[in-house]
Amino acid sequence: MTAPDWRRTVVRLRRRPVGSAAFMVLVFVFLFAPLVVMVAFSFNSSPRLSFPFAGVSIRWYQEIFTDTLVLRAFRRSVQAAVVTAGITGLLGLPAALGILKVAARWRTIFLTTALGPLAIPGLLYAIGLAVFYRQIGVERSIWSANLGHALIALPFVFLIIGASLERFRFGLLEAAQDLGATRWYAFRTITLPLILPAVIGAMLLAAAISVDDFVIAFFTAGQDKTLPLVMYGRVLKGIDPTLNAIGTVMLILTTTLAFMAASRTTIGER
Amino acid sequence: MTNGAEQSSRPAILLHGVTKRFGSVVAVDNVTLAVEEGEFFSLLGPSGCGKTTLLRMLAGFETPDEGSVYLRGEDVTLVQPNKRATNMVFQNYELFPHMTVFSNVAYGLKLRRVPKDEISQRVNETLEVVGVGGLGARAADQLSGGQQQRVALARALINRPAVLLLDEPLSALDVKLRKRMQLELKSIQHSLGTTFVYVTHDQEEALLMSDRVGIMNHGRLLQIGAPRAIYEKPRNEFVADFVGTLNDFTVTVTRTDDTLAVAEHGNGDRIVVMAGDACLSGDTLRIAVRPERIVVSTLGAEPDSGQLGNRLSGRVQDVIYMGPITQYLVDTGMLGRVVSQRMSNEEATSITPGLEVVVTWAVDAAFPLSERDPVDSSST
Repeated sequence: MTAPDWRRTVVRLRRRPVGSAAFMVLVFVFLFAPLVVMVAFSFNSSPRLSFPFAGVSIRWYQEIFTDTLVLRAFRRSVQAAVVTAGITGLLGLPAALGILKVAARWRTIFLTTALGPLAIPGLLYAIGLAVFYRQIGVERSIWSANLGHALIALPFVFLIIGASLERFRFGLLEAAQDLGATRWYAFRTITLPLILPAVIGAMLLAAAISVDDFVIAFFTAGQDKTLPLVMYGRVLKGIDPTLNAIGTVMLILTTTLAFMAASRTTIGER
Repeated sequence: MTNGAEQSSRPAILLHGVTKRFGSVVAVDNVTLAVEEGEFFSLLGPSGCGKTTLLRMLAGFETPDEGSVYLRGEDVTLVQPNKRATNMVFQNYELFPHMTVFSNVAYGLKLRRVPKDEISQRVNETLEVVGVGGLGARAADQLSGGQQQRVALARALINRPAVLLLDEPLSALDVKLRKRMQLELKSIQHSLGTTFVYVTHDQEEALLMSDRVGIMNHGRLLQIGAPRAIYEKPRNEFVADFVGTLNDFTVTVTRTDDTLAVAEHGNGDRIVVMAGDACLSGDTLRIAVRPERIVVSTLGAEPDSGQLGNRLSGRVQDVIYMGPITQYLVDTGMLGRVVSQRMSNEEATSITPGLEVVVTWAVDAAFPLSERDPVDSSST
């Protein structure tokens, strides 16, 4: 005897996780509602930040892209991102390679020390840096902020490259050497091409961290205000519709960087 | 080592008193070995016996703590792997995953600045030789296990090494493919005339492919010989046991007859051993017989071997059908369980568990087990 069709339907419906799906929707609303509101109001033609919309316009974008203060801050942020990516890549790759040569019992100590800063609030780093710069007499500028960004992003870069090296088959290097390659040639033709996606991914993440940073720049950039600092200045004077436009631009920038970083590093996994 | 007379007779590989330790573990213990030019030589032993370490010392990945390694008469003990005329086929192939098959195989030639035309000609030739012609453009990580194995072989062979080192290259393949590759490898080696040093833990593989086999255990090279000698005249118990199944008997001699020693156990059971005249009544002998040399017959149907033939009566415990051969386990009472392997034929089907049978074998089928492996006396 087979079960009637209506019984099958009931069983099937019961198995559907309706409750958990609804809960997930709620979580996503909570996560993204503020961003959605910001992006929406950046296209509102009225300066008033309330519903209903007066109309759709790009006047706030026109305003920020003709505002030299914003443009200069934007350029500084991009510069900081590029410099941070560069410094962390140049330091992170040799560090991640070097840690492999360290004896196992020291490696844990090195790793913990290198990754420790991840647990330290950025604010402490920012204050520490500010004091440090003053002590050694370094003028606060975008360059001193760059260095700070590199500092907070380096553990992430080190971690990502290190993880990709963990999966790296070092037998490949023996094979290369067996075929006549020097260590350097094997590194250039085997190691580097295979871990490059992870290295680039890590550098993109470092760039995203730099663009995102407020607190380091606040304490160490001095008069060279980055985009988040300019926004903060405006918030102090009250919520300004241009903030929504700047915020949307930053949102696109950072999520693009983060997505690129994520896809790179997962391709690297193979 | 450079005069002409020696040059013609110098071995492809000479290991002299080579020892390698890892901490307190002696991985390779005072090994001396010569492999001749053009030879297919296998190093056979259980995992952890030091065979791979020995191979890695030939390749240059490990440096011996003691002793020397000579390659075609030249001392290469301290020479780096990239400066040695050896190439290796790795156990897991180690193909470069970001390159095509062509680039993988061309890697060694490029390093030696071989002209482009010659590279592409030789790569295609070599791929053809190992049976993957036409796969050059394929990405290395899109190959089947068998194809990877062939490409790894091509990548090593193309450099025309003085010696090709193979580290269990077939262990990752399924049985059927492995059997085929064994024969192919053998025929490639034969047609190219390259010296092969082949590491394996598979005794069948070693016996089937090699000109000579070296058996290793606990870092020591226990016996070197042609497959037949290793199998039929094993010099000690470990070798005998490792290269096949063994029936061993410990018997007390009750009488001697010329060069034969006879151990009688009443009820007509006896074991006859060629022992030489030094053997006296009352001596204890240990002998072994390979299962395929043992005949199981029903009572009364046993071959008549006279008063000087082996004969043990027993009861069939189990009959295990294994396709072409059938294995019989016979309980012979005092002398324990005897394993016999016979071709699966009609006659054999009459022997069933529980049956009273007679076990016999030719006197010359037995070999003495006198020399124990001093290190490994516990493993039997």
